[in-house]
Amino acid sequence: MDGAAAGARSIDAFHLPGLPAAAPAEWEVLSVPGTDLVVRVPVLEPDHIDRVCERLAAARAERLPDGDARGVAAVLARSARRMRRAASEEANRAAIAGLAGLSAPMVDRILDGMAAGWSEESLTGLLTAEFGEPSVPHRFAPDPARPGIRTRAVAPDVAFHVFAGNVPGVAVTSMIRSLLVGSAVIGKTAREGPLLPALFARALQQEDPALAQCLAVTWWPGGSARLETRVLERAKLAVVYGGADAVRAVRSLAPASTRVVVHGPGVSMGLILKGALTAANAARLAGDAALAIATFDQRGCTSPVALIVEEGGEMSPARFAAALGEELDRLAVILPAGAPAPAAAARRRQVLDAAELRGEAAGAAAIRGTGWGIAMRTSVEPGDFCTDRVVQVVGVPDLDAALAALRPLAGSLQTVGIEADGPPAASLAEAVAELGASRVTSIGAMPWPTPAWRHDGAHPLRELVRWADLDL
Amino acid sequence: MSRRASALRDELLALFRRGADAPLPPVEFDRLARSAFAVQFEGDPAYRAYCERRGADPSNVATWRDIPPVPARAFRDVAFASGPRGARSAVFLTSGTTAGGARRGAHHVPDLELYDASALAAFRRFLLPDGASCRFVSLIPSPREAPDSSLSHMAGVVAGSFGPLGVGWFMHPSSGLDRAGLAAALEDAGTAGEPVLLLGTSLAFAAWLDELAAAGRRFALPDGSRLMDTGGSKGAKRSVPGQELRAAYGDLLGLPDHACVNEYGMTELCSQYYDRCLLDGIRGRGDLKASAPWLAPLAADPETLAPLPDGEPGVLRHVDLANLGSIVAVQTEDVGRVLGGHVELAGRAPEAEPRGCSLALELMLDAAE
Repeated sequence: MDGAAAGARSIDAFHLPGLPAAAPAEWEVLSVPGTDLVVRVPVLEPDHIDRVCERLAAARAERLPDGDARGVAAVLARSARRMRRAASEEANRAAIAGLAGLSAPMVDRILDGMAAGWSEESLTGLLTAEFGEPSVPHRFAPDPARPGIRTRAVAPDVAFHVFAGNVPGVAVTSMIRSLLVGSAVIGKTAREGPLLPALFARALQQEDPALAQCLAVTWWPGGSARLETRVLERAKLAVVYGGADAVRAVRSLAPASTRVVVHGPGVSMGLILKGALTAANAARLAGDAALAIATFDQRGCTSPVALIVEEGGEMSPARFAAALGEELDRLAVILPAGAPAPAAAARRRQVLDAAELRGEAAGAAAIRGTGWGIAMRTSVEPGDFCTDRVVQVVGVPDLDAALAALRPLAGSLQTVGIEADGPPAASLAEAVAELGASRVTSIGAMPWPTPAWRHDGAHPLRELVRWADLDL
Repeated sequence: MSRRASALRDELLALFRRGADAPLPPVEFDRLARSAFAVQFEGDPAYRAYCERRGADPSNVATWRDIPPVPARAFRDVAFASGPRGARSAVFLTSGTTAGGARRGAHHVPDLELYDASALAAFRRFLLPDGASCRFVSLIPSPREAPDSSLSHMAGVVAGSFGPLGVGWFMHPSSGLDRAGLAAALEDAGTAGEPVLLLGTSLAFAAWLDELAAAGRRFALPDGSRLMDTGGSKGAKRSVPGQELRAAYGDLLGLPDHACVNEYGMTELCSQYYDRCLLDGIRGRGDLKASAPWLAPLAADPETLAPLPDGEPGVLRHVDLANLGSIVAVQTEDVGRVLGGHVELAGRAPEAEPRGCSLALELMLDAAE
């Protein structure tokens, strides 16, 4: 079943092959803040899930018997372009932005950034990076690393994806990857992001109707155990984005035989060494840092929540913070901030108020502008991490102190952006990796990992398949 | 100590000792709150500068709702101590939170006499409105064993004043719950037919009642028995117990629903909120909490912190005159509403909805729990 518009300002945000048009008796209607739009999805029952999964498995057997990764890559890339056009239409754009609590220009920028990973060239490049050839080895072939053994990839017939709502487009990337390796996908979106994945499915329907039967996507309230249990009984693989609660919930419902791939909570930081803080470089650096903070309104796991700044450069941490503030002010016009959730807004405000009070005593303080803030600190304070463009700037005396500041976050670190005078010492990157970071890059590049990044430390495509050996 | 501060301290102490049911006209509350603000504005240079940057000083703060609040999280880093010092003082710490190794908050309470008078009056009104004599049975550690805990201090104060029949402390920071001692105390009270007043955190009660249920054990506490529970499992906040726990109080302890009172307090406040079900003899609709008249809540806009009209959801702020020694206006990040002077805390909704893969979002949700 696929939705036709239910009313003048109602947009359907689901794609559910196998579900008869008359099946859902009820609709869940989400109103889009700040607009007169509503987005609707059907209220599903467990037997609907069964029918959808049956249809997905059957469609996958027909359309993806051998994976056909190259052909699929071309179709997916065309569908992503088509989706991008649909997402620019006025009502869709407003609905995507409104539900996510982001400004429309920010959504545009995010989708443009994400689109780099959705091109045919990028997808075939990813296949080659992962499997050594622009395809998935779906037939036994000699394994050069293990003489005498032939091996092949086996994709689960149906993969269950659970998406977070913080960054639009991540769900699309995730669905594309499972389809690329030859699985059918059933995706559960977040309340903040049901529409874009549905637009992708609809675009796929137009490009390749048979392949579109291998993709189902909708929203239901997270923690609906009776629905999720049913999907997890059927899917052999679950891919979960989200916080610890969401991950725990899926793990607790999944049978032992279902593999769970987790993209759980992570935190990203910037590390600026004194050599980078020259008068000539500082403006560029402040601009890069401001953009990394503002992108996704700082809600992404690649968004820096703190910048650790070494003292003793041409520019002090405090002067750098002032330059950063000017850049954040500039971005407030170009990339307006969205509407944070009430809890995020309250936290942001109070972290800054507390920094201001602390500053009276300790000589540090808060700097703030429209929709952004900087809390000056002498140590990283995880309890004060914010989203929505509030960053800690932490002055440290030397490199050892900078690494010490990162240490309490070992295990939670994801991306660390390093700025130095020339390429940073390899030993620094090694030390950061030892602390658990899965990506070390420049601050400017933080928001946008290359498509072939070993996402959260794992192979982006290989983690979606299993391997079978032929040892005869 | 300035003469003005000292006079205000004496006036508040007298007010608290008159009891939490003695009327305090709004205009009087307003006068006292603004006087306390003036004392704190003079007494704490950091707070003064903070207020001045907001254009607020004692000459232009028109009502208690306009007193600039300090964020509860500022207690982690700033030792507010602006008020007069009494004979007994304390520093209470918030429960340790493990999320990313955040530091513990500290509330400097320079005058425990004010604290104690406020706590006693509110406890009497909401737990002992009938003036009953109860045996106190505590699943909260004793103040001797947990000197940093405001909750333990409060339990010690109320048990010392209202427990002529004695108090048993059955939770020990080192060894955990003394199950045998607890069971013996409850059986003993049952034999003697003397009512029991149980004190504990929701978490401690839930764990103990799970064990009772598993063992098929139950108690029938004497008529007039009652219970106070409070959050305290996580962070600084003491959260609201679920329906399940309330049902278990009835099934396993024989306590009527209206005899189970949930307390909502914070280390950063010297006064507390309570369910008014024992006072009213019936549990009303919703989860409205009441307080002594010298503690007043308001809901504020999360972004601007501007006070919101009655009934509109926002982030809760508390103006507590018993905080004369630190800062009377404390802004929390708890989402809720204020209805006719009562506080209604909002739960986190929707439950378990994946919100994002960033740790910052995760911590934010922890804080909202």
